[in-house]
Amino acid sequence: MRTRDWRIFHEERLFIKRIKRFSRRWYHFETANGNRMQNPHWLDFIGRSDYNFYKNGVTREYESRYKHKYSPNKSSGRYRDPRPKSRNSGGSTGKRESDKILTKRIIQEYYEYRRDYPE
Amino acid sequence: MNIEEIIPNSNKWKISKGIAYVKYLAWIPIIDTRKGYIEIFFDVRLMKYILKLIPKIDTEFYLISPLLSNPVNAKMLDEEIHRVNIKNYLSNYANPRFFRDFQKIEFDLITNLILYCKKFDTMLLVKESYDEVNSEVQRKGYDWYLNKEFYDTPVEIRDEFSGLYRQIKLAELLN
Repeated sequence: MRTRDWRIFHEERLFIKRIKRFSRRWYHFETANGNRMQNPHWLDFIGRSDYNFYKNGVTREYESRYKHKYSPNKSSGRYRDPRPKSRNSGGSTGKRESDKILTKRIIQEYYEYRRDYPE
Repeated sequence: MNIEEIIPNSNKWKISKGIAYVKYLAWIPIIDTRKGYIEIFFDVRLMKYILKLIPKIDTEFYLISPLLSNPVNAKMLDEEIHRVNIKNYLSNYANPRFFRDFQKIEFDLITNLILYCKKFDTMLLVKESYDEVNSEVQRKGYDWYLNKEFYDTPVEIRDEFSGLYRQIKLAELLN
């Protein structure tokens, strides 16, 4: 039941909730397309840097509130998703979330290396 | 041309009342066919889908601003609508991801812009929007800590934009 699709579904719900919470703007606002408007809808936030932060901002387990709520292991609290540490784990750290942080760091390093913005 | 031939057959896509939608957190409009020809909303949010769609289309199509997906903005005057669309063409051409990926799929955005302008007789509006976008593209800042100038856009795009108006005029004669 708690497959990848299930997790994506709940993550999307979470993004929408976050965007709706932080999308109240009374001053001028610029969309991802560069169009200025007043009283934006939450859909206008998609594609902006704010939205990408809400979507991809990884929090640790003691910082997060929602992950406990929607986690399959919410009853176990701090130490969840324990995986056996073996040689065949494929470089896994034992938890899905810490693996995600690690991969993000590697990707970031790779792109920083590749970034050659001109002067 | 039927839209169902272009659109992939999946749950993420739907058509209602001549408009095709994509599911990206919500149903966002991508194609409009109510005027008899295909209009694609040239939106940064739907970049991935637009780049896959454009090579499949054989008939005439134009790229319009995502502002026009809101029915409130459809009340604007025709001249304003054309001005918004032309500016949207040029500002998205300055987007580095669009700029590189259009080269990959071998799609010429400038010829499409000229076809749009010739259809609605709006070649005179190009110069205004070009000047606006070009001033943003060529804008530079100065980093006082490093004693260095910096730009927001890469060199390729700045070089392209410096001679773009001449290119538009040439393409106008050829097409």
